Amino acid sequence: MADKDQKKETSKKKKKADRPRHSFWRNLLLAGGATLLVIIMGVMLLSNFFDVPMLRQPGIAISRIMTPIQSFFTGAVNMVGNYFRTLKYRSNLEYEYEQLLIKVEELQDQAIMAQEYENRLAAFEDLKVEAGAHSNMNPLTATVIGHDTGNYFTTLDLNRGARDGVQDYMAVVSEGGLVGYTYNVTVSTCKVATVIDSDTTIPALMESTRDQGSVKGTYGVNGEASCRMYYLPENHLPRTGDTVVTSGVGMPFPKGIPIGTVRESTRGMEDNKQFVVIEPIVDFQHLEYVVIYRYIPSYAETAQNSETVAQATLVPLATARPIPTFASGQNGGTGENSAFRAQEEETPEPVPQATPTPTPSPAPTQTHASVYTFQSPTPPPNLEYLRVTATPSGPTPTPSPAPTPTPLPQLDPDELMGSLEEEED
Amino acid sequence: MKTLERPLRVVFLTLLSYLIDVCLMPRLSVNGVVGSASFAAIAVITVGYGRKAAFCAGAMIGILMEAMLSSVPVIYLVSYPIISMLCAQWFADLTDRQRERRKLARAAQEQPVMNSRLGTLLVKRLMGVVEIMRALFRREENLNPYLRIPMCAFVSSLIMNVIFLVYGYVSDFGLSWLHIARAMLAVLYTVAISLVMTLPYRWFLGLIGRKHRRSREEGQTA
Repeated sequence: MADKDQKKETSKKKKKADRPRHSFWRNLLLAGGATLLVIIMGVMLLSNFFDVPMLRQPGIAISRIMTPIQSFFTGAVNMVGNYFRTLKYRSNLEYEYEQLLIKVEELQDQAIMAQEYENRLAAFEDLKVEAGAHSNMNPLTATVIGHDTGNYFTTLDLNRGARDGVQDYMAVVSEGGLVGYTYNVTVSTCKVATVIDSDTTIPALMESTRDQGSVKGTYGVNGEASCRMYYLPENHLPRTGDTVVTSGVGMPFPKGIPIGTVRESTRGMEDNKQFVVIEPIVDFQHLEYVVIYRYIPSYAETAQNSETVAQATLVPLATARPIPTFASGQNGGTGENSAFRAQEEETPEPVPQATPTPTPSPAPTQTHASVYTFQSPTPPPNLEYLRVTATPSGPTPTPSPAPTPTPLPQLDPDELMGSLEEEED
Repeated sequence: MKTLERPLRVVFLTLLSYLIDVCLMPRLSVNGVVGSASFAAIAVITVGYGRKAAFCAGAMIGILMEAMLSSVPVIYLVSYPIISMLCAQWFADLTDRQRERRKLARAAQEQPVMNSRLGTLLVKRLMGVVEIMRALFRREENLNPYLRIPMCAFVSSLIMNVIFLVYGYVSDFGLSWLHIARAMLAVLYTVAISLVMTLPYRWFLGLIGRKHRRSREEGQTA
């Protein structure tokens, strides 16, 4: 123990001996500096108690020396601080920008979805109005699940079939206009031959003049989504904007379903173009939902219609050149089924002409390319399509309101014939 | 000039710590509480260079504070040198005289070395914190400087904050527990600063690797 202490003491003495000895001037300088510090402290301390200007001089001198240094240091610190603050601000901005971008994308997705839902809702509302207005025609809504995008045929695939009660040649309607008719019905699907298909022929009539004809698609002819109406009376020039509706002849269609409006007519100008161009009501490019009318006319109705006694009624037309026509009908009314128009020159002698050769229309075959003879007296169904004012959801051209013939006091044909005979006598 | 290198370094470090304290620390406030970089520098100087240097550093900072930021008259001018001297008494390297005095006291009391007794005291839990501190300050050997520097910063900052709290209490500005909590946070923040700045300050003062340098010089002379 004693040895250890002795060793420690010797090592300390050694260290002390090795310690560098500072110069006198250094020690003097340090002592002077320390003394100066003490003096400055004392003077500054006294300056707080005695209001002597001399005592404030050390403090003023120190502040004069330190102010620029401190200002420089503060400026440097501020610069660095501002730089980091800017970096932070920029990173915050970038973060917020990214967040906003994400939010914008989300909102865009939501807007797209909202638009999609809105369109779907509008379509459903149209379908609901359409189906509700014709509930007696046993409507069935269907979704278009496929389009045949060929160059010559335009057909649709629907998600309804035989198990839903769909049969061939049922009317398919959308947006208040005729889309076509069903064919190739399977258990769960069916095809629709559209009115613009080149192979589709649908019996129709001019709503204003009640002239009957045949509407045929032109998609395969010129690639346009339009139709042509053939077999109109030769001496009649339809107006642009006249509505063409189904005649309900030859096919188990409800009568009066709008097909389209007259866009142009070449009749009377070119002999080899005896047709009228019809602009369909339905927008076939944006067709998603349709209504199938599972309407089948009963035999009794058909028979009753076939036994109809023609009753002539003078119906003035709201066309540019009104032409009085005679129409026959079961109820002695409008006479859409077998309307015969008197010649313009022959008026005012409304001699009911003989019924045109009644070609019995053949039953539609399975292929939709069948040509139908739609001339009367094919028994028409007694149900008539009522126009519903459903707002079209798509950019469908709105059909111009066709002039509706105002019903006039009905004339009794027997009485009329009697008066004519008297005049002849 | 080489003989004045160390005092100049001390002066420069003191000035730098003052500038950091005044310009930089307000930007690094934690919950509105600012630590003291000056006390961290004084602690490093105290442990590294002893009492005289600690007093000079404290006096310089006190004078600068008084001249530039005299919000409370005299308080900086007086408290900084006094606190520096006080902490230097506890945390600076032991002088030969202190060692001798403690050795004589130990021999007179015939007590074992307190450092070795410290563990038993802690285990037995017989003595309080005061006794432990007494044992700590009656040691014969220097503690690790990296332990003394944060302790010095803690004590000096604690004394300064106590002075301010007393001043506030005397000035009747409604002392509350919130003030005390803020004072404690300031003390802890100062300790954290001292822990962070110890290495760079000691490196600047040339206190890191001093043994290696000395041994290398001895080898060259031999």
